[in-house]
Amino acid sequence: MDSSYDQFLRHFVRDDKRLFNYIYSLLPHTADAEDVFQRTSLILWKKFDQFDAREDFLSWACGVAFYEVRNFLRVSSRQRLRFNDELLAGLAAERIASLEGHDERLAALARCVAKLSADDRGLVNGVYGGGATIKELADEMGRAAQTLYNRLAMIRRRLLECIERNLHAEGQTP
Amino acid sequence: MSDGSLERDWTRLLDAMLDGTITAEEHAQLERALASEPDLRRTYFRYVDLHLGLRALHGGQNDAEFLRRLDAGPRATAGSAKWWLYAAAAVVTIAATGTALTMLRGSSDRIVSPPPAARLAQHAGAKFYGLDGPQPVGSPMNVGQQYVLTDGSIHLAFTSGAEAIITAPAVFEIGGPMRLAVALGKCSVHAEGEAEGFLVETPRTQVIDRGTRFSVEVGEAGDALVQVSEGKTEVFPRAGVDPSYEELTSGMARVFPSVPGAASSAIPFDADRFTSRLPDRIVTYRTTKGPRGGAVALIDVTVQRGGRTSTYAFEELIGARLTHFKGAESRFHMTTHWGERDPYLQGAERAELLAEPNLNNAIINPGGSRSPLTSHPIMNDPELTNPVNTAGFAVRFDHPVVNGPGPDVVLFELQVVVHPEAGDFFHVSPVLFEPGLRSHTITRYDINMFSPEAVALDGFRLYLFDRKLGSLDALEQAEHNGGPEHIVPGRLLAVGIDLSDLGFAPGATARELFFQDVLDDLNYVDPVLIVGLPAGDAGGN
Repeated sequence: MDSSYDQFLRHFVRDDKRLFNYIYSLLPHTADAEDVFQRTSLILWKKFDQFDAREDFLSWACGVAFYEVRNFLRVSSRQRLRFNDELLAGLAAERIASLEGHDERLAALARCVAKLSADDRGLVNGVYGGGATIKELADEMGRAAQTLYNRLAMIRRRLLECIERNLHAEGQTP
Repeated sequence: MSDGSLERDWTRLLDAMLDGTITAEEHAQLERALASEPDLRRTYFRYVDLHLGLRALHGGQNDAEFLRRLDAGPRATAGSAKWWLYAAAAVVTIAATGTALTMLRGSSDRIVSPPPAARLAQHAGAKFYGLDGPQPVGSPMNVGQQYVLTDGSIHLAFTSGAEAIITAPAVFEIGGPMRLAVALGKCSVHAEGEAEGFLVETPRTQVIDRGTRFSVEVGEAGDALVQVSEGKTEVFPRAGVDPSYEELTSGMARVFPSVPGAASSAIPFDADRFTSRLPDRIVTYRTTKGPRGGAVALIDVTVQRGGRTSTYAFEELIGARLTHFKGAESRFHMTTHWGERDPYLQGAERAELLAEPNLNNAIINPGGSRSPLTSHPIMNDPELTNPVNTAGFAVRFDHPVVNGPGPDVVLFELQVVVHPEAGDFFHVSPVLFEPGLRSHTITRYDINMFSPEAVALDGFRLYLFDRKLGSLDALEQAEHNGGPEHIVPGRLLAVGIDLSDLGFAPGATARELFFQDVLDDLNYVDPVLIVGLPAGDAGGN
């Protein structure tokens, strides 16, 4: 195994989650984001010999990802609601900085999820872990789908507030 | 944002976008707002991080996930970039844990997984958030994966020899054979000999064991309470380069605040903070298998009583017979194995179903009460019009059951898979309220639907009676619909009942008990077997 391969993997494994978050922010649809993530990953490896080790890997990777997002939107025939080019550029410019503290936020999220009520955890588990749609969950529970959407929205807000409190208490800058 | 209502409107649109329900018009509104409002863009990024973070907690892609997928065997062709990237990432992760492995590229790629740093040695009603299915005893714990324990407690055995008991709610990560990171919750660690030097990391501290027993409790703000029960520990700040540490020895307890640089403070030692073992409970059971592969008859049950684990064969258990029954509003009151019929047709008593070893045979849906009994139940047979019988059922044990340490009685419940995972809660009462005796409410099963120990039943017929049942006489005489086979499968839950919880003194005996559903929902307790545990040294280890 050659050393450039080792180096690439060390960078990639450290930043892959943040890279995916960056792509998803520009292309907020899971399948599309995964598509672009896969292409970006290949290109990053192929072009790794052009990467300057003095540079920040994530910034470089996001730069590649941005153009892949643009390419995807240009050639994809999928009918989706998508951001215009001007907004894409604006989001891209600000997103990398906002990814700082990602791991701390994820740890805080885990702590906050553990504090949810059993019912709320059950809903979140069903939506994010069960593979069921809200409509399917609603049918199974005998509730209106909108009721579950509203509840999920409330849970998200609570989790965000909890994360901020956690990070503030730890002295992290939100 | 100019005011809270506007903020709520925009977050409503953000929710709609993440949920995939946003309309074209709403998307255009959101697009314009994102372009002009920096605050909204920051909020949008937070929403995305939250959304993807929740996915990640449910086994989304991370290094540990790569390892787990590779353990299952390569699934992609040699041409799949994604597979070899994940495989390569696994190499780095494995190498980072200091374990050697072999990797070959191309279609014959193999990954040799490193031995696990820790295993789940035992659990008591443990439930993990976001994992696919229950974690069986003996499961390896993934290094680098964040675990969220939402219920119960677990006993981890590290390959270094260290052991840790973690109690929910807790968030933790296995760092390696000698390292445990606790972001939230309580853990009690026993590490000595070759495990000396075992490290517990909290958000602000590193606690290094210098032998042998200590506990760490991490609060929601990241503060850590460290107490040493035996031996000593060294507590280092996690951040910074200051090499100084605080040494805690046996009998000492200190709180280390989450604020960087803040001094720790001593607090009174509390021996109860250290958890030396999981609680007494029904650990597991074994059954015979029927033609459809599901459970039929109980072979034995393993119980921890007073910290000691014993296995009791069915023949050693003290049987119990139904002596009273008054049903709930539901008129479904009997099940038999799909290959059997109503015992009444064979001249036998339906009440005997509860005493039979076939776990698909049951007398179910007894009545109940929101509040437990405080005086003896009324159990006339047949039921009188005044006074009417007490809703619920009673059993009489073949021999007196002695109150020993831990559980003394075991109730097995049939629970269909669409009913509450936690099981159906019930009150248990003495039939005779002698001085000092009281009712006790069971609100947790030792083996519930998300326990790996809960087995699927072989299948049963469900009988709908033509009337409400107010007594055993009614149970034996009522007509029913013939008992069509129940489509929804069921699992076998189990819970131990400690006679001490009913006020029985150690060594005192109980001959008859009364049970009532707690009426917390429209599902009622469905007992298939109730047995007493033999006293003393009966049962094998």
